[in-house]
Amino acid sequence: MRRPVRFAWAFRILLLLVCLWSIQGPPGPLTSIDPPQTVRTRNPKIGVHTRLTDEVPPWKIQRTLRLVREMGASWIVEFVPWAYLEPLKGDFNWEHTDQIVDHALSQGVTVIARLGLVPAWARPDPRERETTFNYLDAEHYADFGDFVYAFVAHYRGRVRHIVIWNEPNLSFEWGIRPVSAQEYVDLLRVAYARAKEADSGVVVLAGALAPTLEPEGSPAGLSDLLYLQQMYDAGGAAYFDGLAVHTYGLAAPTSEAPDPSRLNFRRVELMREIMLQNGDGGTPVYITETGWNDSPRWSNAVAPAERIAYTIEAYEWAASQPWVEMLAMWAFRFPQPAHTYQDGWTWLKDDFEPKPIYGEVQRYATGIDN
Amino acid sequence: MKRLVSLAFLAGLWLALWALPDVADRLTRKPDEVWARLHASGVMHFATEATFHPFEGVGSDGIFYGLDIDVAREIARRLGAQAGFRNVGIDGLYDVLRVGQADASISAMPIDPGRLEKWAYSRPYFDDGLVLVTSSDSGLHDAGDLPGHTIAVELGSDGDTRLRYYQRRAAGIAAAQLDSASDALAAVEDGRADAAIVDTLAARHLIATRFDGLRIAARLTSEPYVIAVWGESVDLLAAINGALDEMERDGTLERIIAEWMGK
Repeated sequence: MRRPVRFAWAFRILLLLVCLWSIQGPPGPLTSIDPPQTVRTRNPKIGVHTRLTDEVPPWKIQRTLRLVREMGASWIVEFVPWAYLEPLKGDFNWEHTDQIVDHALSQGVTVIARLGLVPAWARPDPRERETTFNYLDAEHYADFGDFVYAFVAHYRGRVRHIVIWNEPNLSFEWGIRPVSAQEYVDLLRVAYARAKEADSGVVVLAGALAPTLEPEGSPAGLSDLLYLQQMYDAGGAAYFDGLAVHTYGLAAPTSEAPDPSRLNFRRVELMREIMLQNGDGGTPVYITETGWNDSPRWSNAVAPAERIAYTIEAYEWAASQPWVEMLAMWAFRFPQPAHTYQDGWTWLKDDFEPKPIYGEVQRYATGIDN
Repeated sequence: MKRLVSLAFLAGLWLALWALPDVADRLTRKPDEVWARLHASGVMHFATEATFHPFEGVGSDGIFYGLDIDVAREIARRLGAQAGFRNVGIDGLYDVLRVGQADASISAMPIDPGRLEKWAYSRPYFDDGLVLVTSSDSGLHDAGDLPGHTIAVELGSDGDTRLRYYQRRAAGIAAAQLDSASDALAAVEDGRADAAIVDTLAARHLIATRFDGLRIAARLTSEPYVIAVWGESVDLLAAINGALDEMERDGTLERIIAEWMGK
C-alpha cells in the first residue's frame, strides 16, 4: 500500500522540478573559443571600435568578433573600465575582459585596451564631495598605476596596446574639472612606469584627445592641438610609445584639407605636425576613434552613400601614411540601439543585421561580395 | 448545491484576484500633477527638437512649424488648451519631462523600450517604416514578389539594409544602389528598376511632388512615431490617446500628414 503513495510524491516533486526548470527559460547558446583564425585583408590598418564592455552573452561577444574578422579588420579598440575590473582595491575580476580578449585573439584580431573609469573606492567619499566616475585626484594615481600593472601583467603576450584615459582635454572626461595637460602627464608618468614594469614590450598610448576647438579657459575643455603641445611642454613625450588620436569627419569629406579652425578627418595631420615640431616624429599615431554618422536626425551627419565612400577613403588614406599604425571607426555595434542619432554611427544593428557600410568595407578589404 | 457555492466562490475569488492590480493601482496612484497643471494654466507645453523637416522646425520669427507641431496644436485644442513649444536638443527630450519643463515631447520619436520604466508613450500617430514603391500597374505586391526583379534603393540607407536582407534569403533579386531616394524612384519611373524600397516619408513626399505614376504597394517594416510623457502622467496620456483616436476617426490626422508630405 505504501508504494503508490511514494510514487505519487516522487511524481509531484518531479513535476515541480520540471515547472521550476521551465520558468528559467532555455539556456543561451554554448560558446567555446574558435580555433585560431587569420584576418584576410588588403589593408592591415583597418580597425573598428567595439562596445563589448556592455555586452553580456558570450555568444554575442564571439559573433561580434567573428564579424570583425570576416569584414577584414585586424584591430579592435575596446573600453576596459577600471571600476568593473577592480571593484575593491586589489580584488580583480578579469572574467568578462578575458572573454573579449580570448575571442578576439582566436579571430586573429589585435586588441587595443582603453583604460579608464574610476572605481568608487578611488574617489572621494560622496558624503564629503560628489564626483563623477572620471574623477581621479593625484593621491590615487598610484592606485591607477597598480591597476595598469595588474592589467598588463594579466594580459602579457595577449594585449600589447593600452590607452591611458579617454579625452582628458574635455572637462567631462576629466571629472568635471578644469582640464590640465600637466596633471594628465603626471598620471601618464605613473601609468607608463607601472605598465613597463609589468611588460617592457607593452605599447603605451597617450592622448586619445577629443577633437575640439575649445579655447584656453573654456569650462568645457581645451583644443586638442593646444593640449597636445602642453603635454609636450610638460615633458609627456617620455611617457608614451604611440599617440592615440580621435579625429571625426563630421559633415566634411575625408579629403577636406586640415585647418586649425575646423574639425574634420585630416585634423590628425595637425596633431602630427605638433609631434614633428617637438622632435617626436618617430612616435606612431593610432587613430582609435574616427568615423561618419549617417543619421538624418543629426546636423553633423552625412548621407549614407557619403559615409561609405568617406570611410573607405579614410582606410585608404591610413594605408598610405607610414606614421599611422591603424585606424578604428566608431562604432561597430551597440548592444542596444540608442533610438537617437547615435545609432547612425553603427555598422551592425543590435540583432547583428549588417548595415550596407559593413558589406561595402568587407568588399573593399577582402574582395568578398556578401 | 454545496458544489455550486464552491464554484461560485472560486469564480468570485478568481475575478477579485484578476481585478486586484487595477484596483490597487487606482488606490495607490499619485494624482497626475501635469494634467492638473495643464488644466489650471490652459497651456500644454511640448518639447521638440526643431531641426527635422517636415516634422518640426522653427522660423527666424521663433514660430514653430511642421507636421508634429500641427498634431500637437490639434491635440492641445481638443484638450481645451493652447500648445506651447520649447526647442530642446534631442538628448533632452526625455529629461525635460522628468523635471517638469514640458508636459509632452513630440519630435518624430521612435519607441525606446529602455525608457518604459520611467516614461510612457502615446499610441503611434505616424509610421515611417520602409515601403515598397512600384508603378501603379505593377504586379509586385509584397516582399515575396521580389525574386526575379530589380529593386532600387539609396546606397547605404535603411532601404539598402533591408534589400540586402532579402537578397541573403532569396535568390534572384537584383539591386540598383543609387545616390538618393529620389534617384531610386526615378529608376522605377523610367523602367530601370521594378520597385524601390524607401522610407514612408520619402515615398509620400516624392510621389506627391514628382512621381505621380508610382504608388506605395506594401509596407515592409514599421517605425512608429509617438509622443512621450512622464510615466506618472497617466491622465494626460489617456487624454492624448483619446485625442489621437478622434483625430484618426475624423480624418484630421491624415489631413495633417498629407499637408506636410503628400497624400
